[in-house]
Amino acid sequence: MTDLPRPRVLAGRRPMGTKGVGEIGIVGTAAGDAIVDAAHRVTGVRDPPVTLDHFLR
Amino acid sequence: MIPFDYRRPPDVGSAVAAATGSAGVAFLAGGTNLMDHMRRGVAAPEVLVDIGRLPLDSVDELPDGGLRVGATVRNVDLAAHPVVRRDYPVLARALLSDASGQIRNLATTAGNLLQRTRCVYFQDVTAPCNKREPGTGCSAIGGSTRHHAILGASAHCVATHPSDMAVAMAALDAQVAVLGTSGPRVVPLVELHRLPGDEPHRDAVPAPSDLITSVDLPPLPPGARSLYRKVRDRASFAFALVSVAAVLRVEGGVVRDVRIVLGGVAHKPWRARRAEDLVLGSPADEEVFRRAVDAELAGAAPLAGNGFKVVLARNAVVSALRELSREQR
Repeated sequence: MTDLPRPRVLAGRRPMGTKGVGEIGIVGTAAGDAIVDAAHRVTGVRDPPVTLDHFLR
Repeated sequence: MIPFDYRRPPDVGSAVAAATGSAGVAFLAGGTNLMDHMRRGVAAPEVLVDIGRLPLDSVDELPDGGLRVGATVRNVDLAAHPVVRRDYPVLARALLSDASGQIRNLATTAGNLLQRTRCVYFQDVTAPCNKREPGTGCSAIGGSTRHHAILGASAHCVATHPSDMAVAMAALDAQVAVLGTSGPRVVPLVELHRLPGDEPHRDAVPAPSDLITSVDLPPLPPGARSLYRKVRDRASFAFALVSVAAVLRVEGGVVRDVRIVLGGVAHKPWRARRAEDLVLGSPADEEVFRRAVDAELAGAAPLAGNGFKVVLARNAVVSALRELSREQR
């Protein structure tokens, strides 16, 4: 059950410990733009990513 | 693969005995947290003591009207228990907001209480972490801190406790029955978990060889209402940025009972005693609630990435208390 390889990515450490793996990162970009536009239309806030902390008062 | 020894003792006494005297020992129940950690190398216990088949999986009604919840009662069964649904809505809602259906089918009461932080640095074996490897440093401080603590953290660790269930149980004044080598004892749930201080590798007060056998839930005061509100980045299968468990009883417009617990803000469920003291005996109005929670959060020390949690916690508490007071007009 625990006998799995343990992948390690050592290069390019980001603050979250993540690393880009090509085009996966751009999937949904167009949809994301539409959501950012919609949130801006309602709140006047355009500050992606569209997470709740950007809309708090 | 890292080899480990697997034991399935026949009763709780031998489970504690099997776990005593060896440093690298872990109890296994639902395994929803521990198995992940063993796969990732976050945990490498030498001995697993499986308590999953011990007779600790019943929910019993107590003579005082409360409930005794066995250590291995599944989260799904506790959430669906008729007395929990009728008398402790705060707990039912907290459980159902926790994890996913599949995980709740396996996860147990004691395992939920003793689950470990979801701090990304704790779970990444390539990152220094004082909780995983004492003395190596804290990668979160100066890193990504959106999900980290605003209350009670230390220079050694800013992790939060991830449980929803524990936050609700803290608001219910739950009492945890623990069996150790020196016999059974009872630990109030609010004292089960520690603040990190300079020993962040210790999440809870009981020793690793101490076995939680059950959790008692005293009855709420007659007329008290309760709720759980969880604020998170996704509507499902996400940990709380901030959560609130609240209990409120209002009589003639005046607050006669109040309990407020915050989740997602500290190394343990954060019982907001200062806010409770300010609300108790005061008129049940929004301005009182706001002043009380502001006093509680005056001690908050947000990190670079989580200052929003102070505002979020304040709004969530005020909104929860407002909703509970409106039900009692």
